[in-house]
Amino acid sequence: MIFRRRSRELAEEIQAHIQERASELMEEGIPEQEARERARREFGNPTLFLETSREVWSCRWLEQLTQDLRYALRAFKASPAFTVVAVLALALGIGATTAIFSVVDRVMLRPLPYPEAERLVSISFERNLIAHTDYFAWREHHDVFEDMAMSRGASPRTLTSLDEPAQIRCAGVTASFFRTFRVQPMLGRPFIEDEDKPGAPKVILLTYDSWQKRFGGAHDILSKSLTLDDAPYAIIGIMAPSFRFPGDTVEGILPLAFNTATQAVYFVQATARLKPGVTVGQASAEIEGLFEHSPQNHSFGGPKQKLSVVRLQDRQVADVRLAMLALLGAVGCVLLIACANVTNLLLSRSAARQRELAMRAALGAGRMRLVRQLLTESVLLGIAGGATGTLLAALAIKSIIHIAPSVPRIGEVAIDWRVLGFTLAVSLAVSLLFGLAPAFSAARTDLNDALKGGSPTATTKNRVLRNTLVTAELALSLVLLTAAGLLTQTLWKLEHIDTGVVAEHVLTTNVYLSYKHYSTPQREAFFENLLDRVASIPGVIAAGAAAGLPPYRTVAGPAGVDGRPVQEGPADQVSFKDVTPGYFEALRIPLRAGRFVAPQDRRRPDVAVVNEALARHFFPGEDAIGKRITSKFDRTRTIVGVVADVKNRGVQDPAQPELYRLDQDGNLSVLVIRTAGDPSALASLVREQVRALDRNTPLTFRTMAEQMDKEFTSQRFNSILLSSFAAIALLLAAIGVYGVMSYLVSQRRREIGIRMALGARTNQVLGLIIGHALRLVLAGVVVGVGLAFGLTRYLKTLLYGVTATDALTLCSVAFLMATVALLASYFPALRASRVDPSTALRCE
Amino acid sequence: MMILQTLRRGSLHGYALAQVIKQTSDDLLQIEEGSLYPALQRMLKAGWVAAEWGLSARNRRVRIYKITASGRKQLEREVSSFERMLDGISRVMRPDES
Repeated sequence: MIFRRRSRELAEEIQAHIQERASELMEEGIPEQEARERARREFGNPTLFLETSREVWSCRWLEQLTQDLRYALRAFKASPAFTVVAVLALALGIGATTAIFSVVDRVMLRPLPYPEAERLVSISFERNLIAHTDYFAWREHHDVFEDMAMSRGASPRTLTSLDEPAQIRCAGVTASFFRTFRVQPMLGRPFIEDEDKPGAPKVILLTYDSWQKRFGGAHDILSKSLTLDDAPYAIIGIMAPSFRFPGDTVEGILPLAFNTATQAVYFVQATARLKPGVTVGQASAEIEGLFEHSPQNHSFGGPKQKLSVVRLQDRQVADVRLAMLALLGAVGCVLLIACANVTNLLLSRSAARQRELAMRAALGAGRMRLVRQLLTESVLLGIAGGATGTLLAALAIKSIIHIAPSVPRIGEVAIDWRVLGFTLAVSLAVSLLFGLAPAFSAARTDLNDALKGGSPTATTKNRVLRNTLVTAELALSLVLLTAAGLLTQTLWKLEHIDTGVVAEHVLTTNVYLSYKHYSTPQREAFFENLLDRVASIPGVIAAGAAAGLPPYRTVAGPAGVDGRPVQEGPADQVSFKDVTPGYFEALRIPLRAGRFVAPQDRRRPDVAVVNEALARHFFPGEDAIGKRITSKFDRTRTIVGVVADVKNRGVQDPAQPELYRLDQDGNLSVLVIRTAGDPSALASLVREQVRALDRNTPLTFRTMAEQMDKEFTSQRFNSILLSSFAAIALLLAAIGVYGVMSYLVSQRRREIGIRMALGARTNQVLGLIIGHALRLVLAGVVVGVGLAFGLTRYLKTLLYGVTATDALTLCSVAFLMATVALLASYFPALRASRVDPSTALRCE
Repeated sequence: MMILQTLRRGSLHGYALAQVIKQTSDDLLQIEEGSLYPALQRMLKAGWVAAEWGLSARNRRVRIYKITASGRKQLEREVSSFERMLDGISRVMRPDES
């Protein structure tokens, strides 16, 4: 209000000034009209003075900002198509970046949820583990560590004291775990010393979730006990809801006790807390020195083991690090492409706005003022894109978590203030990135030319910039397409690996029988009885049992044959698998020679069926049937049959020599059931049959297909995400090509008109425009292929069955991209070919 | 400084102020209208001058500026620092005398 009055007064004052001067001039005898004009000319630009005078009173930048914002909104309203496309492009770029950042941040960047977590280190040499004997030897060396704890990852235990028997995952830890991680139960107490010694009373800590889920959050929980694997455990504490077991999801925590009297060596995870000021390197050097004396250093007969001390967090994310970085790189590319796109849009728009800007400059707006106004528009676009992108990211994160492999903390991924701050920073940064060049180029406009309405002669500089931007967009999307192509092929190859079994229509379930209640013969009888019952369920074609499911082995050890004695070491390792006769039929494992394991083998316990890998390894070029095979922990067996290989060391690795034997030691733990129809539909019937025999056996049903599918979760995750990003990139690049070509056509309208007037045919015009596009696409392909060659080799460890520089992949994605890009340029070209020469020439 | 000095001799409106400065400096100094009005606004804001509506010699409604007490103080400060500067400059310009 006061502002308005002030500026009105000032305007009046200025008018008075001019009139005074005019009167004075008139008194000197100059005619009125001329006097007025001269007075006005002498005064200069009243609007500008008005503005600068007004600025004295106001918070200058605030007023300019609101003004700029108003201008920007008005400009956006004037060109809604531009605004929508720009905001959407930015939303896709920023949204993808936000989604992936929220994952990477939670999984890799945020400190683990323990006090001073950066001082926690993991010590290991073999598969993230160390021998428990080493732990006891090193625990005493407190030079570098404040404390040290041993833990064992979660294993399923059978909980039977509640209504429904269940498997709950329990980890084992030493009493020092709580000091090392600096965590305390919210109720009750942690383990005390000696509770982690053999023979101590059995106690358990429960997680908050488990307490709520299994005990309904009962207040008297600490006076209760539960039955795990048939033994009573006193519940001594509840962990806080915020507690996370390192690297695993567990319901219960048990004391980890080792009988140090025996010679046995157990492998455990060891975590230590560094003393303040001690670096990982110092700790590593110290422990390596100790490791020299460890018996484990020389075990396995193999090459010397490499001990490593790394931060706990690094250890946890070691497996997913590369994939995470690749995804970050991918979204970075998408973001850059989006920026390039918006820059191009802004450039063509500023060409269209030349007159408006020139007008503003003529009215006294300084160049910096114009730049600031244009940048305000960019920032507004960036923020709108960021906001929309955040919404997209929020939607995407749910799906990402759903398809994610089991990565520590992935379930906690969410958009919070930290992520929002990141998104805001990215939005502002990209606003400057895409806005600066167009703003400066627009502000440099030559006033005279633009106002005179001469044909907008887009400077060559701009054209070069635009072409470069489109080429870069194409090149980057080609890189993403290549990576997506490679990862998708990896997934396809993995999914089509012959695992040796026909997984379709097979239902599996774990059947954990209590060792306390069942003797070995009773277990055998139980399974025989159960399999009979299951086989009689309508819809069941075959049913068998085994000690474990492919693609993994259960037990393995060195074996020998006649003339080749058992040798320690990795060379003659054989997997031993306890099965029932129905196992082969249920999984459709083909017989190559001899016969399958049969029921009558119970009376003839010294026979075995082997896989082809074993036959090839021990009896190359010979018939394996009738040969004998021995090992330390199994009787000598005669081979009666050879079956096809079934993967037993994971899906990717070739099958190890494997020996099937009819179970006689009560090792069976899983059912495999071939069904005629949908295997999941039979789960409840199978459950009834199991319950009829034993009410306390927990069951976990899963189809064999699901079981196998679990193996590819991380590859599927990589493939789906990168393919989505590549698709977005391709879409944005196509929009970029379309935009540039449209602009080109509108620029060359007159030229095209002349050509057509001189007799050029439609096809020639089409060719002219598409030829231009083709040059851009070729440049993009060349640069993109070069980049892809340089970058994809970092993906090598994520790939299977395809090389990082697979020519076929490169060619097909280049072809795909070229097709899409040319398609995008076809419509502008078509428009060009339909230019009516007379209108085109007249409009100038 | 010049505006304040001029106003000390008597209250004036904008146009007259520009004319007076031009005349007293024998046309040597011409204050641009473009700087005059923003400067006056700045001084108004700082409270060195006050303004009220009045009539010009030609009977036009104009705003007449008047120096305030704090404007006088400001003028003294500026004059003394200006004189010190002038003194300094003249010493530099006549180095052989010392």
